[in-house]
Amino acid sequence: MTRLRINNKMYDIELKGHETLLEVLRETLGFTGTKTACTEAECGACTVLVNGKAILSCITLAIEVAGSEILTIEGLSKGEELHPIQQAFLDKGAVQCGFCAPGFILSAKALLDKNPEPSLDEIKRSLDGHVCRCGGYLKIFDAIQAAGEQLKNND
Amino acid sequence: MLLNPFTYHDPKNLDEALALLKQYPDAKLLAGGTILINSLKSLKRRGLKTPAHVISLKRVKELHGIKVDISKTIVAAMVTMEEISCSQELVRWHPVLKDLTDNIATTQLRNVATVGGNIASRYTWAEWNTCLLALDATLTFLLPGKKSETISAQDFLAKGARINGILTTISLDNKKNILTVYKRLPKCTDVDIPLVAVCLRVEKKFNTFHDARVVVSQGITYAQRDKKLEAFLEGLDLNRETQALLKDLPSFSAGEKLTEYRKAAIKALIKNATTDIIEKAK
Repeated sequence: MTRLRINNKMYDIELKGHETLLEVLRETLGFTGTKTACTEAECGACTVLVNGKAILSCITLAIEVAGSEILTIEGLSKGEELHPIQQAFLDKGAVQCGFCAPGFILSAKALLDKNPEPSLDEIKRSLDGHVCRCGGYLKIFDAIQAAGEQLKNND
Repeated sequence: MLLNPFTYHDPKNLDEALALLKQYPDAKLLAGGTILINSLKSLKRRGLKTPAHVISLKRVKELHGIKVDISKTIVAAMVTMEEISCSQELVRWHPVLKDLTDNIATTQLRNVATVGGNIASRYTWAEWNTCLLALDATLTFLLPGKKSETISAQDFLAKGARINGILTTISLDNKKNILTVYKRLPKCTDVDIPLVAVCLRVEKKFNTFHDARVVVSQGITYAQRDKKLEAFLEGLDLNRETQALLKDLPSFSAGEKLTEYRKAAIKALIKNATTDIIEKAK
């Protein structure tokens, strides 16, 4: 049995060495907010946070992150209360089809946790591993700036 | 399943890792996984043979950390690109490595991709090799049987066969008055790899350049030094105007077989890099 800590909860799983974190999250544990898209480390849809850093679950072996803190999009809200980044994505209309949104939001969280007042360049740089086919980048940038301000006010 | 089944090994130290490598000589070594995992997926998709054993180096304690003293910088092979960018001590001696790593791939990949993986993959576009040639780096490998082999980055790239051992450290000399510049022209693909890249390194003594290294990566072959351009920089008198100095800049000498586009890109990068290094020196 391998113990994975996901969204602050422990899961004991019979893991095979070749299983990717993406597969374990979606197929074994049902965290389908982590999206399967290119599966080649190109699109960012499968992004999750491991120890606060954005990584791609499609190229990460699940067994390699045993003992780490894994955060998926499901772990961000507090019950019905959305995280300020999720709320800002809604308020700013930054979600169109929504497929890429979980990955963008988690990368934004990694950025804002380190730097609550990022410049536009810093926001763009932190999202350099994400692709949005709807092309809604400008609203996503707006949402992250707004979320940063909200988080700062909350402090 | 994205990957074919394999036996995953998780050694905790170099002795264990080397013993596993001796036992399974065809095993693949897993560093950050950004290249290997995708390669294994690709082999599976094409119906080709995939390895039965994968040895992860993640928890091998000797392969982590950066040591900097007055004369040397030693980077352990499992140091990530992100750790390089954040290491103020390393960047103080070798700022070019921050310029290099800050622009490699994407944030998610930089968080896990390792220096050792980038070098040992021996891909022609792997960017660390370009800078390591310019910095006269040496690489240390540990082979099964615990024999250690230290070779220059130049010899590493020149050797046709892969070294069947574990890359443990990358060693760089710390010298004062060294100026370095790295320039790359990205390809327009989802995952950004350079079409061409150039690294210049010179030692500034009074108002002239010495001990120049000019390394050009064409993307399709291993990075190589350009002796003609190095000769141009050697002894360059910085009292002259930059534009006057650039007037005699020779073209890239190994570029005869390249496409016109690639030749033009290399020429532009060399000019930009040379301008930058002259301006830095002034």
